[in-house]
Amino acid sequence: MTAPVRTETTGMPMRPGAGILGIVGGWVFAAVVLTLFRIWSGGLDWNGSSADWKAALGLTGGDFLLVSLAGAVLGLLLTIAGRDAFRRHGLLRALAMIGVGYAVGAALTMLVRTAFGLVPYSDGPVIVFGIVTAYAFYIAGMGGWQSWFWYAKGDPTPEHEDHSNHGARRGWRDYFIFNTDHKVIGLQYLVAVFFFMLVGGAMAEAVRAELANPELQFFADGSQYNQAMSLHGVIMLFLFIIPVFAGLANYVIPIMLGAPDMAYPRLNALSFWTFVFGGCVFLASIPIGTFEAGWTNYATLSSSGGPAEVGLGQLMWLMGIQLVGASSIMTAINFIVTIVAMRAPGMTMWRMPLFVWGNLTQALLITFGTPFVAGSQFMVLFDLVMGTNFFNSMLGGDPISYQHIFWFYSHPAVYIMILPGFGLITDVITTHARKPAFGYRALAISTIGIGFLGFTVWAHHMFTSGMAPWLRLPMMILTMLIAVPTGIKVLGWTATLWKAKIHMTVPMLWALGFLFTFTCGGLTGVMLAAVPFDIHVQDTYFVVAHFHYVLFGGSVMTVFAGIYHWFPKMTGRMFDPGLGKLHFWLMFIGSNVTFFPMHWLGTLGMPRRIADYQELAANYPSVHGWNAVITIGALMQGLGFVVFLYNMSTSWRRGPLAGNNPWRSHTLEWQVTSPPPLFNFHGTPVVVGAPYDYGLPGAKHALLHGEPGYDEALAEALKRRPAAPAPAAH
Amino acid sequence: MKGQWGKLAGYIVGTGAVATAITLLPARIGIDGNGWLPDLISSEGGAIDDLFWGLTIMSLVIFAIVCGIVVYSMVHFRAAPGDLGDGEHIHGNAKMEVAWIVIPSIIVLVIGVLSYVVLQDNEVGLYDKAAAKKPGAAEMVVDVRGFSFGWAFRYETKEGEPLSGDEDAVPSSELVLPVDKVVRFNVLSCSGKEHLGRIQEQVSRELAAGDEADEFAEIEPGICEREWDLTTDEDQKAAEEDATRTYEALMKRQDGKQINDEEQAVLDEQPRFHGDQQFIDVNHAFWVPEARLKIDAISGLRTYVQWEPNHVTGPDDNYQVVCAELCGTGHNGMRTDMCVVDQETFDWWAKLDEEARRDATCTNLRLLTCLGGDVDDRDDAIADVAKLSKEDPDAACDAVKEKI
Ligand code: HEM
Ligand SMILES: [Cu+2]
Ligand SMILES: [Cu+2]
Repeated sequence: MTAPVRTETTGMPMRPGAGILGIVGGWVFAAVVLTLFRIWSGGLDWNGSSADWKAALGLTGGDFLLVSLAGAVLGLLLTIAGRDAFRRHGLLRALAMIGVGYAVGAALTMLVRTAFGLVPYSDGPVIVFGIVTAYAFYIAGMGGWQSWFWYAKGDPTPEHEDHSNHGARRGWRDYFIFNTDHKVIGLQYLVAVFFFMLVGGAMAEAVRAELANPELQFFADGSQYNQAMSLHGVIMLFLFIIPVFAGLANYVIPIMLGAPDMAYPRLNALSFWTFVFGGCVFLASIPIGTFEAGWTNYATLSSSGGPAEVGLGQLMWLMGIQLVGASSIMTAINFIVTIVAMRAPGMTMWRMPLFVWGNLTQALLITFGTPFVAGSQFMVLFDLVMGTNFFNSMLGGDPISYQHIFWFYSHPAVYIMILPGFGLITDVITTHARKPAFGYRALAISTIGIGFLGFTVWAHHMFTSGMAPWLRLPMMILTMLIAVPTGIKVLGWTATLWKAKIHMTVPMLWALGFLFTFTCGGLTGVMLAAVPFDIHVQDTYFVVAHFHYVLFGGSVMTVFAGIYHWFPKMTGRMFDPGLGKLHFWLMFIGSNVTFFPMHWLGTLGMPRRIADYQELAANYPSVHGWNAVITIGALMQGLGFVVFLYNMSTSWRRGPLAGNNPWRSHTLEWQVTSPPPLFNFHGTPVVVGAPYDYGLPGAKHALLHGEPGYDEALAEALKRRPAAPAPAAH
Repeated sequence: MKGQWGKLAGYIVGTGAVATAITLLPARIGIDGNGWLPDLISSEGGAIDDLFWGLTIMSLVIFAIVCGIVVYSMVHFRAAPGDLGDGEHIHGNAKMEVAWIVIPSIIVLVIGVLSYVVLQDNEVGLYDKAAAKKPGAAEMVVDVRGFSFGWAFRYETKEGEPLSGDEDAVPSSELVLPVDKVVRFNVLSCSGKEHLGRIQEQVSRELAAGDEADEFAEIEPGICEREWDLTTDEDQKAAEEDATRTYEALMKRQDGKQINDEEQAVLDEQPRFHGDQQFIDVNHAFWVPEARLKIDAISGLRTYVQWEPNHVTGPDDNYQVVCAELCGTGHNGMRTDMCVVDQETFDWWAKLDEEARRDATCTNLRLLTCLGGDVDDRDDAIADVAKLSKEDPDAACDAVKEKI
């Protein structure tokens, strides 16, 4: 066996295929655009007849000419433009492959259906299988299956650390290929999620525009409102908050641990590109009418024909969530293995920065929890497409069981969305307040405690659902008990500030703001756990206020703290602190103006997820005024976000050089250059002490290869953990 | 050192004062008089409101302590410009951490127990059949049907006998309740067409089974079909025919036979997704904010809630039954009027037929209270009020007293 080890970028040359691919892709693209346009403009009503299908492929009359022409032109253009690009794995080839994959999946499904004597075209099966094959082809186009394919064949595959071809610093192009460098993937995630947040934020502004005044003005009907509201929730949760931590952690955690990369770099890249595809499936549903059932997607609203027939957008949600969920699980497994097995010598569990602890717990929650949400959405899919009766009460199904399965994931999910933030904020506070974390071990253990308790309280979202009444007592007590480990964290952060030397840097501002808003959200959480009170405010704006205080005031504030904290590390440049502060104040004031009055509206009787409140405002006039105030707050936040994007994009290119350790932090990621070298370290570092020993003269967290005392420290560390995998020196 | 703690206490009090002021803002600016909460018309709501205010005060105190310390630190532990030194090397304090575990645990357990007591008091005999005779248990029953997008109410005695004495009485679309009686609401989400769905399913299963049709046991009718069926015999016949036609067209195509336009039309009418689900309704939630209690209306699964209205609603009390669970396009409009009347008026109202009930809407019943308790002939009075409110939708008590 002396076959040469292949390198991954060359791939299979596709010179003769490129033209054909271009024409087929062009045809499919033109046909899809035409069809989408028709559906959107109401000219085509999908009911699955073969005539519809012909029209969709552009096979009827004038369409044939139009689509052929467009296909030929686009094919030609793609062939010319992509001659090189198609030969190489990458985004362009992947895009064409999406069209081909969808066509293949749809054709196969229709063939099978014909063989069984069914109408060839039916929305459900064709779209579902089309998306599955489109995904597989797209990853193939990116080159994602390649080395696994070689491995299966028995061919030699490149060493997993060897992504020299992938992280080759060819500039911006690095970010559009199947790159396995964790730092590139981290940035890919961050840019992608802020793009999604822009979309989700636009939806929020649309929702607020509608609610600024009673009656319908902005949207045509309740259905449109529900679409914007659902999309806002889904994007913010699944395409922003959860993956943004994957991005930050991807960049920072391997360096914090003293590792050259994640444990499974190829899996890491696969997770990212899967996430992007899943997100785009959500977005692709916008022109054909998105899902309308809210992010909770309760059966039977999502699963029944019902009086208002479920739209195609619902299928997109059901497929998108599977892909995004799979990506989330892959990332989580990668983090668990990395944190358990890739720590540098001397990095004991009790020396890990708290961001690592938070991420480890989060990853465990994801691996245990996410299969449940996947399962619940599969059941909805089967009810719709295959006619099963999981939730169809007429034939013995049980709609409440949906809620149990869904919340068994989705309550832990709220901790998935905040635990990394809890850890991150500790890193920020200790560094910028120049003081050790107060009660480091208590902070770490309470993270695990929250994660564990998080699995025992799901039914607190169901106090009014009509579930078994006895469940309410244990769920209430357990939910309230989560406040205890959460309180430990709050104690840790406040006590860390005591007798500290606080520097009011931009990341620190976000961290301090977080303490106010998260405390508020945590307290309303305890209020909500009191069943009699929750029965009154469940499904009202009080709940909306609560979870925005924990999600925005909690998670998002930590995200911005983290972005500003690590921006100099990632880019090597410093952001503009003035603009950073402006961003903070706009968002901090804006979010409180937005979310605080929501408490009052909720207790007063304003249900959530409504497009109009004129009856309520007629009875309680202040409802209108407060809603107008809330919309002003939302505009302030939007403005803040624009300032943020401007600051990031300009400082990235033109900001002053930041140096390696502008915050004088002790943790490992600050001991290397900014941005860090390709494999993070030149030689394995060795960890010799606690991560936050500020105030202790001469204290060190870690020694880099070659620093005085390194050899002795390494020998000492290896005595304690001889099996530590020493990362290759470069 | 002493001065430091005194100052810290000052910060905590100050933070608490600011937080309290902001929290109570709506009571001042809100003009609605109630501040946070809507009017209260149920006996159960009192304890819930007390619980709410208790929790709010507790939250304000904790917020003041935590954030007071943060504000104090922000002011007093700022690094001077250019100071590159570190803070004090304090790692933790075991005593403080233990206290921070024990005290909150006690607080939440107390809240938990108090909440549970309130819950128990509000649900006497609701789930516990043995307590059904105790004081505080339900004295009458209202069957509530939520559907997309509206409500229907049927009145029964505790034993399930119709109050009007008529089994087939048409349900009311507004909620009228007698004052000072504990009412149990049996809540259900039904489209009213479940029967058709079952017939269709049954027919197509039997057709598919052919000669072995006997092997298919009858599909059991669900609770919606038994209690809220709205279909007529014609509907049923149409559904059976529809199912047969669809099935036959499907079979013909499957066998490769030519199908005619009519059959094509039948097939084209098939719903986009699997057919048998279009007959059930989605979840709603039955909520009167002024009563403070709500329960979901689940598709085909009965749920319960009970409360005692304790105020007769006057002409300005425009309370409504609100749907609190997202149910689709018409969710925000899924509201209907509710009112509370005295016992005699209720007894009179409950016996009205559909025709007579048209005048006795909640709007008019509320206006009727202007005349005081002693109305001799309610039929006449309500007709007068109805005429008045039709002429002047904003009619107030003065107008009623003057004209009638
Ligand atoms: C102190 C800890 C917390 C407690 C005691 C708590 C408690 C609760 C309760 C009881 C509800 C149910 C309200 C209802 O009846 O619908 C709820 C809803 C919610 N919570 Fe929390 N929570 C806590 C922290 C968090 C965190 C950290 C997050 C996310 C980062 C979060 C996100 C949410 C969301 C999104 C909902 C809304 C779910 C819906 O659509 O109904 N919570 N919380
Ligand atoms: Cu939860
Ligand atoms: Cu509704």
